[in-house]
Amino acid sequence: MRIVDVLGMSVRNLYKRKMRTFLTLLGVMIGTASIILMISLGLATDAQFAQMMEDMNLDMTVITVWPQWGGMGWDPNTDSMVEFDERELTDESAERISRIPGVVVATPMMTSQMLFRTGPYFMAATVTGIRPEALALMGYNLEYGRFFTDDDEFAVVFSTRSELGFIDSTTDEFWSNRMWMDDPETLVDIHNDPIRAYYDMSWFWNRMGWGGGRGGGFGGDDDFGISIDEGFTPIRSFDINMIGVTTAPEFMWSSDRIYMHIEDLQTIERLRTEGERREREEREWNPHFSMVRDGDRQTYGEFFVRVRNMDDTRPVAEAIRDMGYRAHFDADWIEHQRRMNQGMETLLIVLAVVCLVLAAITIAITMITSVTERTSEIGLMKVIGATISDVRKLFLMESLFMGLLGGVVGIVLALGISFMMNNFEIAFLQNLNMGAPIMTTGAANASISLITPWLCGLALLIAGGVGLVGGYYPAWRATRLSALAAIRGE
Amino acid sequence: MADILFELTNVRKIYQMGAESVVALEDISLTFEKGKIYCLLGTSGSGKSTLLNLLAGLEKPTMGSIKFLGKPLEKLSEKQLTLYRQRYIGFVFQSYNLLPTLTALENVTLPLIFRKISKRKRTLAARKMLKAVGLGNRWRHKPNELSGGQQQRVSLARAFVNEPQVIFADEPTGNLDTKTTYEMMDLITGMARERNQTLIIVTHDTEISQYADQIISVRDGLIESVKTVEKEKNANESENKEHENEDNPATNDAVATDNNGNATTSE
Ligand SMILES: Nc1ncnc2c1ncn2[C@@H]1O[C@H](COP(=O)(O)OP(=O)(O)OP(=O)(O)O)[C@@H](O)[C@H]1O
Ligand SMILES: [Mg+2]
Repeated sequence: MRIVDVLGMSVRNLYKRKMRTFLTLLGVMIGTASIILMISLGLATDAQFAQMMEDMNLDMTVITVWPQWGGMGWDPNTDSMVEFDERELTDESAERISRIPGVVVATPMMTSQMLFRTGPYFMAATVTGIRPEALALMGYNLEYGRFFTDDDEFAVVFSTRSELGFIDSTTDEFWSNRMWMDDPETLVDIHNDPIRAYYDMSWFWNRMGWGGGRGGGFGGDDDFGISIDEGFTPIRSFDINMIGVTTAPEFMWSSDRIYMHIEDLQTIERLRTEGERREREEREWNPHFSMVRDGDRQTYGEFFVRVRNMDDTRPVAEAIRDMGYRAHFDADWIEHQRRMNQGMETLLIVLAVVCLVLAAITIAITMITSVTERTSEIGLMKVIGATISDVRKLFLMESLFMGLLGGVVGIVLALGISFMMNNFEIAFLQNLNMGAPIMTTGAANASISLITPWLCGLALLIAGGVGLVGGYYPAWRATRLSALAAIRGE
Repeated sequence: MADILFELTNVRKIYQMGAESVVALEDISLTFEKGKIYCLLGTSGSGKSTLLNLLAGLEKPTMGSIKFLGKPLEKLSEKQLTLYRQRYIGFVFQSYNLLPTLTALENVTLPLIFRKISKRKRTLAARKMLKAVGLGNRWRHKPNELSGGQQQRVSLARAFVNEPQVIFADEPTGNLDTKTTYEMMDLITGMARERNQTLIIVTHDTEISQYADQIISVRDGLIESVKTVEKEKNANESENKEHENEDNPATNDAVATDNNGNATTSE
């Protein structure tokens, strides 16, 4: 039999049993539509992720490393709970990490809270200690001046927006944040105003009277009740030497940090703890030791590692974890989200597969009924010259056609639903799309469902496959029917 | 000397029904010649249909051999048997067995469809054949829109469209009234004669058996007798002449030839 004739006869038979055909199509239709929608939701979520990553400007080449505190913990490398050994971050670890292939720079970073003040204006700021040679490698750019070197003592580099942190102590604006204002007014000229840094903050607050109940506000040095020269020894505060202004790289997530040589910051940290200790012991605080860097063995709270490119991130992070430290990179989070998403997609696809299996069974049942009904027709065709393969083709074609027809209707259905989802933003469907926890501007405009031509092709393929699978057994049964049934029957 | 179409030697057919075995055909040795009309006559259950099925290759003999043009059918594979039926055999059934989804024309083309004949060619052949059976203007109708007699004509056209060597007709008039029966017998025998085709009719009706050249009486799976019919009964044939005048001049010619006693000549 020619394939056109097979097709023609199949179509006729399907058309003759319109109602039954339609009901059978329903299964394939719904199955196909759901599989398309499910995959399209996944595709759209992936697209949203891509958009989100772009919007957030994540720097994928930076790894943050922390010391390992020991005990039971989650190991991302093996995705399991393991017993960790304690491991500190030292200069030696920085060196070891630097030697991992793909690493551009591994630098300790430490942060400390400090107060900066000029006249009645002050700010509490995070000061980041960093190694001078790492600044450029980590992606810092200079807007003004220069970076500190090992020779600079207690030099400070501001960020572009650092000056916005200054607030007026005479007003109530302490709790407002000028950072978020559209066009904030600058109170302080960081280039010309004399700025003093106070690292012993409890002492500062005490002097301010905020700790002891005295009313806030200070107009000048004298408001502290003690003259600068007397009380504010260089140990508790110092005049800053602002040598540069930098634009921070993306991974810092903040444009108001203040940077110092990490060794200076360590010294300050030590002074602070020493001061606190003495105050406890001597009930008096009158330290008179100088701010001189010492070369003690240091441990750090945090390392930043920059790798050559994105592909190095994961292997380097894993290598660092293998060394016994904790390591984090943003792509990890994204990947984690993706995996969660994939979990959901898998669930949806399982659902769709169940739909399609049911569809195949429906087709099989319909076809078996059809074969049984047409026993004498099949017999007749065999008697007058239909080969086994003709009979098989006839029935397979019928079921294939049913599958494809259901697939086409399913695609149309899916396109319709997808169009509605994308244009009418049905709230609960959006909620279904749990993949994107952060709605960035790009993602908000992105489609919820994304149906591509290849997805339609795939759906048709699947629908046809379902038809063939469903029709296989009935077609086999048809070939096994006796030709004599036609002559004997009735 | 006529060509031998079928040659049966010691053919037995035994149906095994569990422990019980039914002997449908005892021991049949027969020959069928080309271009002749045969009638298998016998009571119900005598084994007529069984014999026909064996000849059509739809069943295999339990013993013995059936040769078609010298080739033993029992040696053919299932596929070869299908091709054998496709090429050489036409069937007419008691209950017409038309496909309800197809029109009269398409039903007639069915054997040609299985032979992979192009649509244009097979439609042409089917139209011609429908005209020959007197249904030239009803080709568009579905079987359920046709009377029993018309349906049988369609099935006749289907049997002949293949230009087969043999036509098997198992009780072709079993479902028809007397008048239509004679019309149908005239038509089928006329067409077979005209085309010099062998026709094997199965019936239990002695009246109908008179249309044949040879009557093979079957009884309890055995050949009781083989009789040659002396042609002298043309009364009812001429009776139907006018009826087929418009549609079927070719058949009329054949009938006329028949009337003159030259049974084997055609065209
Ligand atoms: N498939 C079968 N299985 C078992 N027995 C069968 C089968 N086909 C036929 N028979 C038996 O073989 C014998 C001959 O049957 P067959 O159909 O040839 O008779 P018939 O002469 O055509 O009768 P009828 O005029 O009623 O059609 C019967 O006894 C029947 O019961
Ligand atoms: Mg019979």
